[in-house]
Amino acid sequence: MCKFTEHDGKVIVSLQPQHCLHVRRNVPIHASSRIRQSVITPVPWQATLARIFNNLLFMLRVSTEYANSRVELACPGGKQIVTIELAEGECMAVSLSHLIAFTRTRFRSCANFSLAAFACDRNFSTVVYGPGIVFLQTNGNHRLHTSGAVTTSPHQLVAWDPKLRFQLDHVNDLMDLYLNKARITCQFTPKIRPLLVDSVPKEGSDTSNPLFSFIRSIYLPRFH
Amino acid sequence: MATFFDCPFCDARQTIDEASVGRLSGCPNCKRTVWLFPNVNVPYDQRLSSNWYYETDRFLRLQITAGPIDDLQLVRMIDAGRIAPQHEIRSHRFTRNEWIRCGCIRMVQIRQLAAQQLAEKEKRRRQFRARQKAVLDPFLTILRVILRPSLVQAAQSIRRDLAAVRNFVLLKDATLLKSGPRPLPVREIVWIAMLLSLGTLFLQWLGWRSAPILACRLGLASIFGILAIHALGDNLRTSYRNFHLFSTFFKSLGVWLPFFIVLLPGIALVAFIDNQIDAAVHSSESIALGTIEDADQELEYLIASSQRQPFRLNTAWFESEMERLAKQKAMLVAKQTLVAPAPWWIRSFFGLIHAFLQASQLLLYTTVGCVLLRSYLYLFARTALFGRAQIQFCLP
Repeated sequence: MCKFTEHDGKVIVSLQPQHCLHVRRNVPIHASSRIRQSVITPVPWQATLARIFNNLLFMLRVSTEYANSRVELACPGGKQIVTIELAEGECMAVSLSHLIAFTRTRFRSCANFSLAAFACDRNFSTVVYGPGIVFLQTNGNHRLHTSGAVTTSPHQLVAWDPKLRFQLDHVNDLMDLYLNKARITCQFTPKIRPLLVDSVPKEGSDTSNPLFSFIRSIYLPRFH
Repeated sequence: MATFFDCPFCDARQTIDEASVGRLSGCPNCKRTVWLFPNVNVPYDQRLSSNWYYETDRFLRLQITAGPIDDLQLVRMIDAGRIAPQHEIRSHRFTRNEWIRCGCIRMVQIRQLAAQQLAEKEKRRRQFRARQKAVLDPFLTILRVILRPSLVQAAQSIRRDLAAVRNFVLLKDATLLKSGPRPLPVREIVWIAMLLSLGTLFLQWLGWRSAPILACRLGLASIFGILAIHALGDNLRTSYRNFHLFSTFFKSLGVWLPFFIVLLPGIALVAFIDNQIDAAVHSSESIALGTIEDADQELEYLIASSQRQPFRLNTAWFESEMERLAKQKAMLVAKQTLVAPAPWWIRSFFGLIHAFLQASQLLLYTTVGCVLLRSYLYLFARTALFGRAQIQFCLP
């Protein structure tokens, strides 16, 4: 598995010749040595629909011929990169709109057609299975929760344990029902991995106009 | 000849001879008083139990004699008060067949004997079960080996599911399934679509014109069936508390109605597009498939319609009959000389277009249906949260 270091919101990955890194095409990459870049479709049959909708199907394959090549993934505009290392058999649900790079992880698109998932527009989610590393981009000021009760918007979820149980918040009045987004509260139990929550929803996942946002979420399912 | 006695209380074995059979002794291991008799690999010794007769008050205070009962039953009846101390009882072993008041008999030995009988019966039942297990175990092992993982695991899972359902019904646990996230059934849907497409092409090649529409309907039904099963599983692993289905349903209809009205222009647009597709389908039918088959059908229809005329005794009937024969002759000539069947590849090409248009029509309606359903389910779930409902769920 690749080695990496996080520094000031950036991530420096130490690549070996046998390693490769799949990076989203719009992410700027800086390398200390010569690297090979090619556009490929990594694991095309895993979470295909979700990756198509999140522009993750065609990715940049970064590899090198030299040992210990340092590849730097940077995010402009105060954004930060969070790295999650998954061992064999481990899995995490991630928001694909936050995903910017991964190594050799496996993806699985999962569907939840329960009423609760309809209420918070989270019918389709993606689970990443180890071994491997996933790199997630947040808007900055993200929070890592490990205990207690956390109340947040479903669109701010970045990475969470699939076993984590959420509870939908109540709706107060009719205006709230139509125009307010669903909010969820989760309560941590033992053996649950930490929850990563972004400070604001990812751009494009939510519009500022509540009416448009409502109409969009009512008619169009989203692949997260 | 020496025989063996196993203490029914502690299973300690001791050797007994003929002379000591039926006597009281102490178990060297557990120190309890036991009646000795051979009980290893021999049937139950009737000498262990004694027959009791007793007198009891019945009709008009007349005493009647009842029995025989064994020691265990006697002890139980005395404990229950059905045999009072003033009642007389007799047995061959303890009273030498003489009637003695129950209160005058030392019950300690009888109780010990009853306890030993009970322990002996329990021990024999245990041994029987052990023998049964020893006989059945190899068969069960073979069954397990052969049927694993299908039947045994299926039975176990059914038992687990039933227990979960029972817990759910008894409101011990509001969540029925503890299963984790399940993948989107894309693979199954793709397989169904592929099989149906191949089947459709084959049937189309055989000349079955209604195959595409049937395949589309079958495909849609299968996909919706799979998704419905998926949705059922997902809802079963979601906890719903204080959730009132009927009131939520009626409220949600009111909440959803404005969106249905908003959707009406969209539905009108869909109807227009559907009309266009219908026209295209008709056109493709008349262009491609409307060669020899349509001429055949038309001819048959004409002949059949003319044959339906009843016979009338006037000149008009002869005129119409002559006209029918002339038409029949004309159509037969047209069939044999003018109308030639199109080549197979033209028919296949337009058949594919026909199938594509039919599928588009179905997809259009499916999309509208999905949008309506999704909007309703979204508002239904939001309406449920309007009250005191608590919904706990996992993502995904």
